[in-house]
Amino acid sequence: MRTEEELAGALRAAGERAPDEGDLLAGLALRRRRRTRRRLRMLAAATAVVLLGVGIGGLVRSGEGEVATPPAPAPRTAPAKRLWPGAVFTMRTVGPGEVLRHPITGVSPTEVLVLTQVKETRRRLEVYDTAAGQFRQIAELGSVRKYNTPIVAADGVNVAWYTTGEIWTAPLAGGGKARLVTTLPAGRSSVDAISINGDRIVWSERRGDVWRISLTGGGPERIPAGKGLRLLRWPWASDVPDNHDNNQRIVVDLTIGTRQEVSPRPRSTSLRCGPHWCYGRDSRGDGFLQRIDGSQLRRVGAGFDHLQPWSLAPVLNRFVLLKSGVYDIQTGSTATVGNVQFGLPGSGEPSTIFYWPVTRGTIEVLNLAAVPTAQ
Amino acid sequence: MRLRNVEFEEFVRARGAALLRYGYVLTGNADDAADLVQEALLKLSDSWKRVRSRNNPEAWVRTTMARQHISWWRRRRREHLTDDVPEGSYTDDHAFGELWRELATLPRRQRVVLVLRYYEDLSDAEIAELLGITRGTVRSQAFHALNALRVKQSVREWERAERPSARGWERA
Repeated sequence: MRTEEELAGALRAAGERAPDEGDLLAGLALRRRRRTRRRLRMLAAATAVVLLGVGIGGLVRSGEGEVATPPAPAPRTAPAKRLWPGAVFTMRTVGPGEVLRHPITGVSPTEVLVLTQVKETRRRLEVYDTAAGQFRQIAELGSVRKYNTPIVAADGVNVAWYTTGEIWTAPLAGGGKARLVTTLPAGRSSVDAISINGDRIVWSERRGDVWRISLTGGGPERIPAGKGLRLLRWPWASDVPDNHDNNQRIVVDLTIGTRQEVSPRPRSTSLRCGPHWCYGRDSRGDGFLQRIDGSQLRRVGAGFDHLQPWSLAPVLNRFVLLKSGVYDIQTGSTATVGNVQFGLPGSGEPSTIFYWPVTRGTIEVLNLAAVPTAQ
Repeated sequence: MRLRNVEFEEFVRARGAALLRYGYVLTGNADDAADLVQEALLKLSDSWKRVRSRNNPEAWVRTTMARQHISWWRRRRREHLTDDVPEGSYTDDHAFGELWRELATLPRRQRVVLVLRYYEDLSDAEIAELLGITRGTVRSQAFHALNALRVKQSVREWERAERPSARGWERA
């Protein structure tokens, strides 16, 4: 018999002796040209089909008469800074001492949680106070593995975060000590969402199931109504993970266990719902909004695909990120934004901010919690 | 030249060799390795901005490669169903080591599971997530593969399960 070490050794040895492929970039360029030619050929063929289909398409579309027009007052499209001047602020992402900052999510209209990396080895949580233009430290995260970003959530009082099998908390005001709340057993430590609400932390496992733990003591308990579900944003849970094309089928209120069935528009995909609105893609890939019961259908422009780290469900029951900008369901207006940076590091709940670079080391942040309610 | 192109090319120059090594270990031959790496990098360049801001383009490429390798196998297997081509047919001249040669006789998914476990040093839970299969399937694939290669499993299951998330991306 052989050992596992011998196997690992054989694989490593093979890797070390892998033949050199020469110029990878040149190979890539060639491959891209081939692919473009192939696509052009397919496009030419498809165009012929589309031309034939136009007349029929017009008839079919007129049958979908329930599509609602955006609500009054007249929607506007303008840069976020002009549309919602109080909700956009500028933040430095680099600081002295090899400090690099990434905003995570908004915690109030004037505060944003920030993950701060120091010299690529240490990380800490900070809050950026947009009114004062200052950062305050919440907690040291210790040395964190490069590819292991903590996921973080806050309510008005405390911050909670999950990292490498552990759940921690610290006061949002800063100055307090971080406290280890629980260590998750192996097999239960793949966490995809976390929320904090008063004296309890709630999270869901990647494979489904929602758990809670009290900050005042006791171990984790499974929330019965959350069996097989994923936490969206406390107290809401969904039956599908974010990175699937399947439509969400239910919205569950975990506090009382009510389940609302989603009625998706026919032939739609990736439908994701919060407590009021759902966003999905129609058969042509265009984005649309609807209520959970299927009513109030509204076509909006193209969105991003499901690789984005945000939930596709409208953020704060109101906003959807589209290719044209941030669409406000309440007013029908669209705030155009810069080149939005995907991959917000580790928001435990759907993040309530979008940000984009303006100059090297400076970003603009749109804090959706600071957008005024429509009159 | 656009900034993102420059960044992407820097990434390819810096990490290309390591990715090719990984591709070679996954596929067992240089042609398939180059194919796999190029296809994954092409996808990466299409989504560069998004992936880069997630801070981990290399992990993204490696995941793409493992999944792509299995899906190509499925497609090609269907195409060659009547040709009776042995799965994972070994066509490379650079043979070294009996164990390496025997690896080529494994079904592709079993091989991928072994590579992820013993070359990438991922836990079974991470492999399950990466390939979109259950942990039980990962274990059974590994079990059959190790049996076929006559490798004795020395690490107990709970130890493997409890290992922290030690992703091997940083190694090569």
